Amino acid sequence: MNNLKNHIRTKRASLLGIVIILVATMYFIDGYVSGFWKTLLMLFGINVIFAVSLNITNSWINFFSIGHGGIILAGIYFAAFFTLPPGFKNGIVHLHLPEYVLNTQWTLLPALLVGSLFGALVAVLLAFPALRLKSFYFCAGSLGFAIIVTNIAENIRSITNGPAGLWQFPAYTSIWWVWGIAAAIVYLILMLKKSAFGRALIAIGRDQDLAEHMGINLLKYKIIAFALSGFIATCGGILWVHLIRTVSPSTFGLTFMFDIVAMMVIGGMGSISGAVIGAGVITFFLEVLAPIEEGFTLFGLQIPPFLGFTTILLGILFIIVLIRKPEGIMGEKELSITAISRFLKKLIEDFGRSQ
Amino acid sequence: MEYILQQSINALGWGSVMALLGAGYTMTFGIIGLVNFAHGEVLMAGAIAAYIAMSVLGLPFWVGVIASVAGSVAIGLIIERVCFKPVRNVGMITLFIVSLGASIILRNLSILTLGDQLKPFLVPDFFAGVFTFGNLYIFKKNIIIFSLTVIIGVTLATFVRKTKFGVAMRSVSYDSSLSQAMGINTEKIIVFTFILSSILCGIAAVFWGLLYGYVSSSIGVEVVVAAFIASVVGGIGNINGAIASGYILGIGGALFVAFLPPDLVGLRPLFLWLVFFLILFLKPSGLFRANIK
Amino acid sequence: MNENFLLEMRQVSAGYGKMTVIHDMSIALEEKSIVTLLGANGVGKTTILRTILGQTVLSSGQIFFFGEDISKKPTYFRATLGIGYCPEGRAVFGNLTCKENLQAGAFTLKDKRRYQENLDRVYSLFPILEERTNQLAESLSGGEQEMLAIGRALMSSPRLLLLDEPSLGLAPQLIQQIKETLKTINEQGVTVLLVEQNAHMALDLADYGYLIKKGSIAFEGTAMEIKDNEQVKDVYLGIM
Repeated sequence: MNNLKNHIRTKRASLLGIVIILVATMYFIDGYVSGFWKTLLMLFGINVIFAVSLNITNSWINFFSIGHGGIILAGIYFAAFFTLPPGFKNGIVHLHLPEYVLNTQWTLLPALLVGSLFGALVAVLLAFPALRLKSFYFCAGSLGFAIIVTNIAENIRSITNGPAGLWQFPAYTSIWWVWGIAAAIVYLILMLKKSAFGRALIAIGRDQDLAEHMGINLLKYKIIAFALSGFIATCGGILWVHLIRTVSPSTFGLTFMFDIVAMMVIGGMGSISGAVIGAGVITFFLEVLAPIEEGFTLFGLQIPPFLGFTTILLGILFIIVLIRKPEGIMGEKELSITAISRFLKKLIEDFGRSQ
Repeated sequence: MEYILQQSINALGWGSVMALLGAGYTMTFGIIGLVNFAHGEVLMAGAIAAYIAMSVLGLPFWVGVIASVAGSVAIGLIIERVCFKPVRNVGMITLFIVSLGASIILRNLSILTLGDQLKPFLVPDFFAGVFTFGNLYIFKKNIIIFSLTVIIGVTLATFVRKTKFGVAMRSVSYDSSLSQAMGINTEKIIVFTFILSSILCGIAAVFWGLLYGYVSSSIGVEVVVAAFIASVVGGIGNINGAIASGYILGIGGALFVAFLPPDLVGLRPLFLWLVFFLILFLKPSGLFRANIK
Repeated sequence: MNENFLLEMRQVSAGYGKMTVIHDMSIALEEKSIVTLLGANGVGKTTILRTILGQTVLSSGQIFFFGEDISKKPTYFRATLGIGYCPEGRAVFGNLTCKENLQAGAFTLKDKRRYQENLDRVYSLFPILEERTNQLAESLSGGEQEMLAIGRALMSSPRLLLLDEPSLGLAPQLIQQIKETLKTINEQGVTVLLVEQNAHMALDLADYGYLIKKGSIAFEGTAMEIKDNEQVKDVYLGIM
């Protein structure tokens, strides 16, 4: 009994510790880090949100979607209608939206909620093919879904401004918003994974028919899974667009999907901690190597732009991982607080012994 | 009525390209269950090879054709050996993602070395010209391409139907391990299928160049989706089905666009996906018979 | 002693992936014999056949065919040596016609004349197949498909014929027909390794048999010995 109490106390303490460390880090970053590194850290957090959302559909219920780009795009545009300055909506481009929407400008939080809800609704549309189509055909269908959404966005110019996209987004996103939301999502989804609901989703992924026979209502769970995944992904997208401050129908295309899939795969499909790790690795990789694409000066030598270089490297890395260690860094497992504290305790013990 | 006929005739060229690509695609899809997203890049490789031979090196057209086929086969084989063979038994989705990776790598490599701009494809005078038939205008190149494709299709069909090798290909399509027990070297069959599929891509690349007068590093992306949908609609593993579907999609797409209001013309790619979803919901095995279990 | 054996498995352990299904198994087949593998469902009988063919993961032991070590050779190579296979469950190529199925079976045959001879032999053994020659295999009835599977295995003039539960789900007349066909084939010089649930049929045909239990050999002996053995009757309650 004491052991259990101790265990819970340790867990609570560790959790509090993590939150404190996180908040302190945020303060530090917000105050002292700037420019490139700050943006990189924010992108890291946003990619974590994307990767976590993708895990729910692609790994847990085992419906491999490459169409999330379409969901995110739809949600971003919807939120954009509310957060873009009226001067832009009325003056620079001429969007045919309801009177109220044209003249208003919301802050981030309501736009996040409303946009993500819309994203969730759009995502539910994907749930319906998931009912009829088998694994690979669903994957192809999700691609079609994304292409259709992109195509529609390009063509209804009066509402979306067509291929030119939207810009002049207010710079709402800060490190606090990104990591506050990312941390909350990581925590919630980790809890979800262990809950009955999460385990039901994973059961559907393992063996759909068996899950049905055990009494799991496939329709209900799939819809909720897609809605949740879409909600979270759109959240990430809205944060993204208020950081980068411009978007167009082609922004969340296949290259984007490939990046997120790479994060998932390298980190470990289905693992939330894996998603965090994968997002970190890939974001760092992509952003640090980005200058190569534009060309730069090294020791006085002008190195020419290498367009597409990072994508090639990422692709190669990705294929290597798939061939050699297909389960990724974490496999399906999660980093647990007890495991980390045990690991740290051992480290300290070993260090103490060696003195 | 005439309008429809005219549109259909105009679409014969593009339909032929899709037919050949679909046929090649369905072969690899049927034989190894591989959804090869990099199939478009095999086409692109051939197109670029032809461009280099003709526009850069100034070699005659027939050399360009050979270069195209050679380029496609080379890239096709490289993709197969490097990317697909190691993950052969891992599952369809992993294979698909690997092919997606390969596609992105190849496309970016091409953009890196040659740039993304449109590159001219020199069309020999032989292909220029229009015939008139009553009120219909028939472009000479459409007819040539269409006839050649039909000939290729019939040859392919005969080969697959009548020869010992064709029987072996179809049996590997259906049940690979049982075929092994019959003494069929499935590795050889797979490699051969890839080569055959790539040859079709090389030919399709030449047709593309003839039709549009240009090639680029990005043409792969435009066609791979069409090829995939053509093979699904035609029944997986069914070469004749894929060829027929290529024309159905090509002509259907042209008619679809023709009847759209002018400012919605951008919705053209949607036609393919519409057909895709329709077929998958109504007749998932394809319009014609599939060749897999 | 070795040279008389057509096929020999020496202390073979094999299975799928990391899982071992058969353990330390030694089996020897004399030329021109009919040998049967008996046992309940799931004990590893099919795995034995597939191991001979090379479709499992061999963790230890060796396999010899006419004295030659084939343990590391790929499946298609072993087939060219003269091993014919009729898998369980009427495994035909559904997308090929009857005749094309037989053609597939004869893939390793280079001699056109022998191909025609074998085709005629199969058609005379199973006349219904000649009737249905251009029909798609998937449209044949269960019994016809089984006949097709057996006929296809014969097309390559095999020296060793592996059969996995040929009688499963077939009508008694057909079973009798197949029994006689196997006897005829054996008289023509083909060694037969037969996996069967129908112990009656199997012991009637076989010269020698192995009783498999949980991936190992529980008992082996001549057909007579098996029929008389009490231990076997225990294991095989009610089937005799």
